[in-house]
Amino acid sequence: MGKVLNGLRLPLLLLSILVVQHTTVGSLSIDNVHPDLLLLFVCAVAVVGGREAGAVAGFISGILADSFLITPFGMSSLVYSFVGYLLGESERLGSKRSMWLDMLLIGAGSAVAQIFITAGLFVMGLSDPLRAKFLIEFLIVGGVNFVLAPVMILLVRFSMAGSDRLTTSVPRR
Amino acid sequence: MGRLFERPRITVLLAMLISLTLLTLNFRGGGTLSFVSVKGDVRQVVSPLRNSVNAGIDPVANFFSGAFNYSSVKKKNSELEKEIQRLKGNSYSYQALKSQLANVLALNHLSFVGSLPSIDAQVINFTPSNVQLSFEINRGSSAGIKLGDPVVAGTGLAGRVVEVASNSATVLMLTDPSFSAGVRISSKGTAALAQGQGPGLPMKLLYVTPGTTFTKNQVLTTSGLQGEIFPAGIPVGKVIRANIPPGSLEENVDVQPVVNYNTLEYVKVLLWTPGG
Repeated sequence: MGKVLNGLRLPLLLLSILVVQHTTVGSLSIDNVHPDLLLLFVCAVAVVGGREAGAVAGFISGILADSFLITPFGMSSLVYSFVGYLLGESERLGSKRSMWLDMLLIGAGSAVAQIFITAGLFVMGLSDPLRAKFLIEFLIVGGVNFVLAPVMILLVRFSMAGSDRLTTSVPRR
Repeated sequence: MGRLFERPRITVLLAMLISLTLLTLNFRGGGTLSFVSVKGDVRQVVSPLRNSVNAGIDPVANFFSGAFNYSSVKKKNSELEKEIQRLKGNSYSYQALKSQLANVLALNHLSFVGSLPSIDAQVINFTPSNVQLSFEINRGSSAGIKLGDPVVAGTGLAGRVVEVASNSATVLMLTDPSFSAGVRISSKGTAALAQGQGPGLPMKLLYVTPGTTFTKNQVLTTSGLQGEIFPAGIPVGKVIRANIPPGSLEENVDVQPVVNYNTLEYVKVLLWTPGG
C-alpha cells in the first residue's frame, strides 16, 4: 500500500502543477510572459531522475500542456520529451553536481524548450520567430524557472523518494 | 552498438515517435480526428480543481493587490464615481438614439447588428501560455457555439472561436500572431488585413493600398470579405501609428484593438455562418 502511495506522489505533483498553471498563479506575467510550471517540472524530473524519467515526464506533461492549447497536438510532448532527455544527460556528471549547476541546467533547459517550440511552430507556419518579443520570452521563462528550480527540485525529490529511479541516481553533494 | 540502443534512448525515441505521429495525424486529419474529445476530457478533470483553487487564491490576491495599491485604488474609485455620473447622463440620450438607430438599421437592412443571433458568455480564464493568446468562455457546443464563430465585446471584435467543448470554448485573441481579419479602411472604403503581433504589441495592417491615408484613432471595421469569416462592420481597432519606412512602398500601420482584454469579463458569441 505504501509503495502504491509512493508511486502516486509524482503523478499527483504533476496534476497539482497543471491545476496551478491554469489558475490565477499561472495567469501572473512579467512583461506579458507567463511562467511555464509544467516545463519547470519536466526539467526538474530530468535533473533529479535522469534521462529516462525526463523523457517520460516530458512526454506526459507535453500531452497535458497540449490539451489546453490549440497548437498542434503533440508539439509540446515532442519538445518536452527531447529536452527532458537532454537534461537527464546531466546524470553523467556524477559527483560534480551542485545545486547551482542544477538551477542553471533547469533555466537553460526551459529557455531551449521555448526556442524549440517557437521553431516548431515556425516550421508549421504558425509563428514568426523574428519578432523581438521572443528573446524576452526565452529570457523570462528561463529566468523564472532558474529562480523556482530549488523549490521544484525539492518537490520532485520528495515525490520520487523511494522509487528505483532515484536510488540508482548519481550521488549528490 | 549496444550503447546506441540503451533503454533511455529507446524511451525518448518512442516518446518522440508517438509525438510526431500525433502531430502528423493532427495535420493529415485536418482537425477531424478525436483529439478534441481527449482535450475536452482533460479540461473536464482540471476545471473543477482549478475553480476551487482560484476561489481560494483570488481573495488573497485581491487583498494584497488592494493593500499594495491602496492610493491608486482610492483614486480610481473617485474617477469611477465621476464616470458613473457622466454615463448616467449619457444613458438617457443613448436610449433615444438607440431606438433611432434600430429604425435606421431596419430601414437600410444593415448587416449583422439587428438580426444576427448571439449567445452571451462569461470569460472564465485567460490561457496562461506564451505560444497562444486566447481565453476561455463558459458556453460551448451545448449552447450552439461552433468553430469559427466571431466573438464581440461591448467595443468591438474580441476574437474567434477556435475550439469548442460541451460547456466551454476557446477564443483566439486579436493579438495572437495567427489571428488575422479583413478590415475596411473607412476613409476610402479600401480593404486590408489586420494581423496580431503577440502579447502587448499592436496589430499590424498588411496589404495596404499605396497612397491610403490614415488619421490617428481612425476606427477600422471588419470588411465582410475574406470568405466572410466575420460579419461586416464590427469595429476591430484604432490606428495608432502610420508611416512609410524609407525605401519601402508599403505603409507601416499599427492598430490597437478596440477591446481591452485586461477588463474583459463578458462577451457575445455571434452565431454567424460564413457566407450566410
